[in-house]
Amino acid sequence: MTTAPTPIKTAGLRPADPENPLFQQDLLRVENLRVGFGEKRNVTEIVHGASFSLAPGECLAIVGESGSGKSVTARTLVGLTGGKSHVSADRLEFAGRDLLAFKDRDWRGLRGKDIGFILQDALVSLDQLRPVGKEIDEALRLHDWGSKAERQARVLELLELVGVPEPEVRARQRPYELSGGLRQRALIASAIAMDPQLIIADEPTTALDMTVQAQVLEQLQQAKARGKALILISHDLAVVSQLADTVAVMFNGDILEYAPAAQLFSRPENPYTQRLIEAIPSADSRGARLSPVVRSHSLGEARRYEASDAPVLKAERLFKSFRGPDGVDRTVVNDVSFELKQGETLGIVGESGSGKTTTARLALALLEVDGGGVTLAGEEWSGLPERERRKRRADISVIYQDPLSSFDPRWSVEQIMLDALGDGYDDKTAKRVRIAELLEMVGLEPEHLGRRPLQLSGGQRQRVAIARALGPQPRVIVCDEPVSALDVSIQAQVLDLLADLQQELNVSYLFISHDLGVIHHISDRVLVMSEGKVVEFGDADDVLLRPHHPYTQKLVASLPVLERPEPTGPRPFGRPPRAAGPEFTEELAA
Amino acid sequence: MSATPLPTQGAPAPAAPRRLAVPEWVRSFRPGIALAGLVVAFFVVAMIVPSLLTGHDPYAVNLEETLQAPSWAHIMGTDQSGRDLYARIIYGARESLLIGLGATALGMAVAILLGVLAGLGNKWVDGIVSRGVEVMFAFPILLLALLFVAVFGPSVTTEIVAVGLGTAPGYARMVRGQVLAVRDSGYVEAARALGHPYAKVVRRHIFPNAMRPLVVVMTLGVGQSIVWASGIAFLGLGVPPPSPEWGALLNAGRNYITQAWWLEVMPGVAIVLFSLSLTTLGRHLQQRLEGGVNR
Repeated sequence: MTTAPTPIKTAGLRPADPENPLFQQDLLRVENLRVGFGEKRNVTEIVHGASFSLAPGECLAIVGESGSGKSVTARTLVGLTGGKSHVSADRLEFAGRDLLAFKDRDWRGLRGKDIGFILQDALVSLDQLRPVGKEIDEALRLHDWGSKAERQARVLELLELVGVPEPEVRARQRPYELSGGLRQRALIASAIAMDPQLIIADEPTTALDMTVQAQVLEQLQQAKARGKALILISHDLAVVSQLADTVAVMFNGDILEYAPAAQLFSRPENPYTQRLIEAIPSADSRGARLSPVVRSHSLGEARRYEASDAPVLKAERLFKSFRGPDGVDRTVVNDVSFELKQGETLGIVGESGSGKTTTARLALALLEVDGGGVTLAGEEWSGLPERERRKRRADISVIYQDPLSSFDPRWSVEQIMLDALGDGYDDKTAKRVRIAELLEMVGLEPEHLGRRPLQLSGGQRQRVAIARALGPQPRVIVCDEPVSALDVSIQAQVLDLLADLQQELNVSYLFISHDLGVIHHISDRVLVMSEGKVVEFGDADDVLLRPHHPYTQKLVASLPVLERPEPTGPRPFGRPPRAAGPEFTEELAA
Repeated sequence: MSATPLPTQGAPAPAAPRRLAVPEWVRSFRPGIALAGLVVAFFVVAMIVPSLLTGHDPYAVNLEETLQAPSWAHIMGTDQSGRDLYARIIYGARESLLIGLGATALGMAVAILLGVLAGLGNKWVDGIVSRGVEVMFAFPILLLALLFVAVFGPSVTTEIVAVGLGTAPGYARMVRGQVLAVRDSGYVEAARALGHPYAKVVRRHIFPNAMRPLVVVMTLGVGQSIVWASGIAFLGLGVPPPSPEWGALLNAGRNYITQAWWLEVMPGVAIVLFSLSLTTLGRHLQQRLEGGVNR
């Protein structure tokens, strides 16, 4: 990829204050930034000439998939690229100061004071053994801010500012005692403690639940409203669309498109940006393809199930509780019932801790129910002893969020697949033929057979997991967050693959996800869970477009929606791909 | 800020970094590792065919040449009976290495048995085995050695048993942790979901994966066991004279330390060199096997 980035002047409003020289120019100017890693001759360039600028009160979003160089770019701005990095640029200026000439000391003076840096996961970036109040205090103390009493007052003020309730109590708590949302807000508080002019947030909401994400985005929005400049690093275009004034789209170290947000989302020019926007699953994308991958393969001897009205998987009043470390029983699944017909997809959506995964494991009978029961293909399932269930496990298989950990690390793809085939094959040749078919069905090549999962990309691993799940010719596949760990474009391909397979084989999916967009895209019916209970159940459009329960309403309201003013119309299955631009293959993106 | 300036504006995007035509094995050559490998190879040869490395007889008493300092004739000097020290160290390698390997093998065997039992058993089995291991932990190795020597008399076997049992509880804990981690791993659940019987899952997934890191631990353990055994021998609880076992050499030289420093230093260097080399190789192996990327 050698597309030269063409910097476009940002179009945001700039307060022109003649007193303050800062406001007469951009706060941050980056021209032709190159970052490489390695020693001596083996320097690998990660960022190939990025250019952008930013004014106070403006938000620049750097968007890209994993490996695009977006985080490295952000870290360069605070001097955190590490020892073996090589940074060069035609210009790297912040508030009129040349960052290229900075020594370690200068960086320490700058970080926290002039530039605040918010990392993705507050649980790892906050000291576990230190109360969060101390952590925020530290940010002030490092820059010799005020007296002890003044700092204490400021800490409480900051916690209040980022919307932490009862700041006096929370300041004394340690990170593990706080919920994910509060932790992330405490991290924001420490980043803005010195009232920096620029805040850099690297995937600030990625690990968070939907409703918490909405709260954190609100905090960043408010900082922006107070005149702070904001750089938002994210893979999620919908999140970005909530905040950004300008967007830079990165791919493999190049900025492919750099434009005002409204323009970029309505009239994306670069084919890659177009692909990224099209790849986002949502209510509008139902029944349409998300990726431009064409499907062509033979079905071989794969079994196709006939649609019928009798439920293939039926759960009735499931209960499950676990004993916590404090000896108190917690009911994790509380009176959950559902029905899944052959060839349909039931989406289970909920926030972390809502009992989705436990429900899935009960349906798989990998966990014994405390009450209620599950039937599979009309016959008793959860009540059987494991010995009896084993014979019928071929009817129901599973795909996990993290395919890598679901493969024995010693095994090659071929061994994994051999292991997944049931009985009923004459000899090794018959098995090999079947494995070749399965790999073709999920879009893998025979050359992948000899590889180990570690040597595959994330998307390829999930394809192997799907092929393994298809191995025993199941009626139902339980998909537990199968696309959460994948990049948007890979997620699009995997979702398309799952939809194709359902069309071809009439297999049913019990599809679990925290992502409303994904759930709405793929599900026929939706089950919304909260704290172990079913709060709403019905057709996908009914539940997600016209939610009745307040919880569902809150969930739907917190979903960042990408405004797409120029509807491209539904893309039916089988439509040829948009032929434009270079091919962004999975290998490139990996 | 940058040691190698990258191309600036106007220059075309750089091509892939230039690689010198150096084969992979040369670039990854690490002199420390190679040296450690040589040392280990040397002592392994000494263990199998000691006569290849020395012409002297380690047991030949020569009262005319007692306590000679290192010279060309005796590169490591001679002991109080005029025996060539170099030859004794070479011939002693067999017993020392045997003790190291034997003790580690015994310790591992006991540890695997207990660790797997605790890791796969129910709450009660785990509790009983784990408490038992903790009780074993409370016994210092030296105390165990005293006990065994008192009961069975000093010999190579006694030393192996003492060091083996002494190191077993540490390994057992490690094995239990490994088994627990693998037992709750994604691929074990995936195998259950495919309908494989549990015994098969244990055999095919849990056992081999739990044992994988132990290869490295064993390499490290052999060196450590030799050090332990030497310590026990130094206290006179090891193999009786005239055996040239390294710990026994240390013990024998103890009385002459003011006249003949080499009697203490030379076997000491052999012990340090060998266990250091094994540890270096073990760490290297650890990085290669568990470093994440399997190439």
